Amino acid sequence: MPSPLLTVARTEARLLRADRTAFWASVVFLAATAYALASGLSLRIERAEAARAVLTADAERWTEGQAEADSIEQAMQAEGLPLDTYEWGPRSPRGVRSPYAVGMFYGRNVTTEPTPLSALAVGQADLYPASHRVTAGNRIAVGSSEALTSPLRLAAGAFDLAFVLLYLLPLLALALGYDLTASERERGTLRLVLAQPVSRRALVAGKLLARGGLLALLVIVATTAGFVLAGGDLGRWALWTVVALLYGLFWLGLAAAVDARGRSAASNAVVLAVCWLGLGVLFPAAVTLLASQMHPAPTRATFVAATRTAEADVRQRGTEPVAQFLADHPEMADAMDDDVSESFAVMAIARDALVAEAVGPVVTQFAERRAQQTTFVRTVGALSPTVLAHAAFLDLAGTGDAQQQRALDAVEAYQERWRAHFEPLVFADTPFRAADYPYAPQFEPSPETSGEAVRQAAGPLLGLALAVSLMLGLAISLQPRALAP
Amino acid sequence: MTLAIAKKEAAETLRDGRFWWTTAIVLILLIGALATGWVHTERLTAQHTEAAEAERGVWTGQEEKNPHSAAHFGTYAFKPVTPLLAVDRGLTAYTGVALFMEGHAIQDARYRPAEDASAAARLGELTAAAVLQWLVPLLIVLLTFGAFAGERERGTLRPLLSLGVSRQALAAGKALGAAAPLALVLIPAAILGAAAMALFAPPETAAWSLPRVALLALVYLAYFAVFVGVSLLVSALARSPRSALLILLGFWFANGFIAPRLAADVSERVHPGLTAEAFAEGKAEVDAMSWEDRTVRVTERLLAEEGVSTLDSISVNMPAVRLYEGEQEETEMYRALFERLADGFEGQSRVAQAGGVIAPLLAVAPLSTALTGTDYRHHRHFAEAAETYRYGYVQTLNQNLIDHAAPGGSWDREYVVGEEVWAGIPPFDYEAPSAGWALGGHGLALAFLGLWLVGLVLAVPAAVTRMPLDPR
Repeated sequence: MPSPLLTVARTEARLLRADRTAFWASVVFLAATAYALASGLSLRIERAEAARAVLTADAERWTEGQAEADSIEQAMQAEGLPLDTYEWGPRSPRGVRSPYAVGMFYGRNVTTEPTPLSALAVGQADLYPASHRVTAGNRIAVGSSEALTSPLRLAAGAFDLAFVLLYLLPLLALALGYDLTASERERGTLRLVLAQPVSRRALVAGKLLARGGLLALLVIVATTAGFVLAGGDLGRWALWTVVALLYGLFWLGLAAAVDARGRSAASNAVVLAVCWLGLGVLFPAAVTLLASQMHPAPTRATFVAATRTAEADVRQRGTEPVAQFLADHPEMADAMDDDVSESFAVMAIARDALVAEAVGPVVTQFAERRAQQTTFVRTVGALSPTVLAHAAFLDLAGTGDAQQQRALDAVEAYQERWRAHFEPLVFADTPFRAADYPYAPQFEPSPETSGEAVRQAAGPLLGLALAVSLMLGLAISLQPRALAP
Repeated sequence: MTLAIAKKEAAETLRDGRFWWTTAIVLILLIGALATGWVHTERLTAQHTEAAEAERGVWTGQEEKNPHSAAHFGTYAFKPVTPLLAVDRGLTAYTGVALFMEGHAIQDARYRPAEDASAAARLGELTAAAVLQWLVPLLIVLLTFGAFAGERERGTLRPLLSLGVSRQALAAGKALGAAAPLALVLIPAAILGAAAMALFAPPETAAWSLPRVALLALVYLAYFAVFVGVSLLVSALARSPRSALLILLGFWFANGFIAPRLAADVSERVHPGLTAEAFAEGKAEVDAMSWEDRTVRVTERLLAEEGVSTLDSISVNMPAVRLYEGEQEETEMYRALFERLADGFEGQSRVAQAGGVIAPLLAVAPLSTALTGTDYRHHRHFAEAAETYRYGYVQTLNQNLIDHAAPGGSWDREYVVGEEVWAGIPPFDYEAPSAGWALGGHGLALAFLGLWLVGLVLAVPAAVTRMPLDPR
């Protein structure tokens, strides 16, 4: 004889096939999944194309610059002119040999290609500019650009797979679980079932097995389709699926626990709707609000005003900033050519260093407050499975807070290298020759490894696993005393 | 009769412990959201005012220089914080706060607060609007889903009608009975909120806010009325109270959580707006305008006007005139470009509002953001005011150059001005538009909200007239 658990599960599966609520909830879930995948993929393709266009244009400009510099040098040699003179540029085409024009004016455009899985969880990716212009003598300008995406779209958020899993999956789970035993109890058939050799615990477990099976099937279909289309590695697919399964199971467990109170199906639906709104929407919103209340970051207006005040102050000091810069950087003082000591470029570099120093505390405060907010959301928010799953989805897709910061840090590090390469050339008044082009710093985005993503997502994953075991334990141990309404 | 039914319904609700329990939660969340929102608004306002003062100091404290150098030095406008930010944050996190105004170029405001927030902020922030748009409708659904379906199932509907109650009176009574307990809680809360604002806010803030708050209250009352109507309609027609509840919860969920994202996503596809490439091309077009050609044009015209043959003998400074006219041309092109960008965004929001036919929130949310001054139109209003100011001050400086720089064809290197010119340019003073203007751009949303109300006023009695009296 098969175990009663399996018998119950098999019967329940048959009943499920006739359940219209479950049917429509599944249809809506799958339709939304299909739409979300199409929407997320097209968004990623657009972003990737924009990034590629920037990179291609930039590479072309760079190669052209080098070729131009080369032909200028050949012409100079033909005329017997020394190669250590150059034109400052930047407006003249001869600027391609000027360290000022190339390093401080043209600069380079860098960009990070969207991660493959950003098609499944857009996260913060739609907020940041497609590319950054990196120049020397302009340390604090990285990160501000014209906003070309509709603010309405940004505020509403992307309709991606992460959204479907975060919002529609709970709905599906609750629709599958809100009437686990309530109607049978109301109709009195529960007594009949329990007259068979099956324990209440086995009955509930069997029902959960069948309904959880359907839920798991739908989740696996959704994530597998997503990964096949978006192209992620197997490890991330497995983790993403586990997070989604745990998240779905949490809500199914919650529904079963509420059902175990022994009230009517309608009453269960009411309680579950309120629970979902509270845990899935209002609590996360309250946590974010609290985070920004408890660790308020200064508004950008303060940052801009501090920058402007520092800039005005430095400008009023005439050539004194250069003296200070040289005192701070003796190696530059030794190499400096007297001809350029009062040039626009040297002044700009010296002023930039002083302004960056003056604005430093505000920038640090920003970074600190932001980190504190993130930590607060990650710890207190852990009480909501929605916050946990959201964090895990984004971390695994490479579009979360940490990865976004990492991308910005990579740009800043590159700018630092660029600066360190060109500033000495400007100070020494040496031309940037065609032969120097290959030795200029190249931007290397540092894509995150799967290991790091997993480490990021481990916390939320653990939290979810804990919440699920709590809910399922509660659902199975809290058995209704009453068998009839 | 209607009143008797309403009284009985209201009394039942008020006797129900669950009603008070949920109402208490609604009020606590509302007060919490408004109080923290208020603190946040005050903090932002203080910082923006301070930043604006510092920036003004930087402007007037400039060293002596050529007026056109000052136009390149530029100045910043900081977007004022709306006093109703605590009610609805709208799109403020997704629009910039600092707008740089300089010669030869137009920019939109930069530094969107969302860029500095953590990713979890995209899950939403708790504001009064969240409570009013999501929680209160849920409460309405829970209070009213059984209005007819429940009575039908219990078998009390037929005896009730046999007492001679008309079906219309029954429908009106049920609607009133559902609305009264809510009104009992929400109307005093709204009046208290408005009174607190009138008492504690500075007079000009209060004068600006109060008409908007009053209209806001009307919009939300209409939204709640729509939910009462939909609930009664579904309750009259549903097979059982349970199926009424499930249908209504589905509607509540789709309206509150699916529709806004779907509408925003679809609107971007239907109405793509200005692409990044097109924008970059537009900017490149402005940059490509040749200063050499303009020099020739201006020179020839000036020579012809004054009837002289060389620039040495004209009475004005040619480069100054050229700067003035260049600014005119560039501004015209830039403004057209930014208008295309902004029109694209507004077109998208109109497409999203059209979704209000299916989901009432898509009509209510834009009205709420419009009245609180947190929608895109208000942002654009600010950006355009800043642009007017930018053009005005840059041309004042260029005019100063025309008037005072040494006549002739070459740039006057000697000419510099100082503090009195800087101080003579008034600071940027932005005045937020009126409530009437705020609603002006949202005729579509108003129309859809009205349509829902009228439709339900007609549909509910019709459904009640035809509804079955016995459980199926």
